[in-house]
Amino acid sequence: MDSSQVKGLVGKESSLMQALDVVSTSDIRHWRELMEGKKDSWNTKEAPAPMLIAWTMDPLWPKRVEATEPHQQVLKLLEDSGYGLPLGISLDQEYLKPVRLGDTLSYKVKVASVSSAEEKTDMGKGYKVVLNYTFSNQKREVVGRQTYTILALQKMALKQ
Amino acid sequence: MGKENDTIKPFSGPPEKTLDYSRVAHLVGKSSPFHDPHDIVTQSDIRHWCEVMQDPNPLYADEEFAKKSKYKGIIAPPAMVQTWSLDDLYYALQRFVEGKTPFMEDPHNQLTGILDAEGYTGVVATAQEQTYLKPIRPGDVIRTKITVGYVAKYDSFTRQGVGRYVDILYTFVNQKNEEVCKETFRILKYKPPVTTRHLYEG
Repeated sequence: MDSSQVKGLVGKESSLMQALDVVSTSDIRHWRELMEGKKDSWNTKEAPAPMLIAWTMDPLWPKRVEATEPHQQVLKLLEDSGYGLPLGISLDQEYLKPVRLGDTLSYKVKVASVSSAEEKTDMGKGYKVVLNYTFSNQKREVVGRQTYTILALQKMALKQ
Repeated sequence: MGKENDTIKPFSGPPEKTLDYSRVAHLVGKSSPFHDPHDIVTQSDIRHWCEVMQDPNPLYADEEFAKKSKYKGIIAPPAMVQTWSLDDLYYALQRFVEGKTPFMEDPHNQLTGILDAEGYTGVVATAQEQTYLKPIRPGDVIRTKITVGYVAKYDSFTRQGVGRYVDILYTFVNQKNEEVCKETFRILKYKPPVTTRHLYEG
């Protein structure tokens, strides 16, 4: 793989991306019901902290056609070189401020590091990509940070 | 399930035991109380629906566009009406996994209980018709009343087995007690034939 293009993207940060949904009672309740079980009423004023990633998920539709942000481009480059099987291997979150009902989150993703050479793992050969997420609310206050490590595997790894 | 049901022969043989209509007649026309929803109508749930239905209608998403329309603001997709009154996960699991039904005292649940006890344990939805009366908007609280509209007086012979048609009527109202939708849900409660009965009895 020509790694110079990938190396050029390390340290680059995406533009500020908006969450598609405002933090809502129904989404908080759905999460709490799954994680906390049956109750007569749920606290829907404050979102459970680990929901950070739920508010900022990509939609199922319409499909994103172009990789415009650095982290998308890294994964696209790896995919084009045959490492098209991304596997999340670790996710660390740090919660700095509560996320409340009515908040609108936005986030940035920075490419923190990419393996300098192909790594051999039990799952197959691939590249490790570490992404740093910063989540902020509508007042531009940082509410949380996240480090997400992805192992981009060769697609053939599945067949072995 | 009684023993006599093991010899269902709908088109030949001796006539089998069949439901006496007088056992359920008192339930026809009876309604449940209005049940509260677990969630209010939210913009995010509307967006989730549009996302999976791939519905780009700006009336459901674009405030500016919707304000200029005859609805004067964002509305929820009318066909979502039933999602606002769905069981929560706990009740859904009780119903489908444990076979337990919440609100047993509701007329339609009493009816189902009687039909099940008489051997009409199978159920298949045969028709669903909704009439939309008022738009539903984000923030609305949709409550639901369920009425037994009709129970067939006699058995129908179908490919599914011998069964009774039942109409369940849903009335949806908002927080101002305005009716937003009326729904007729026609089901066939039937006696599963011997060949498929094991599917229902495990």
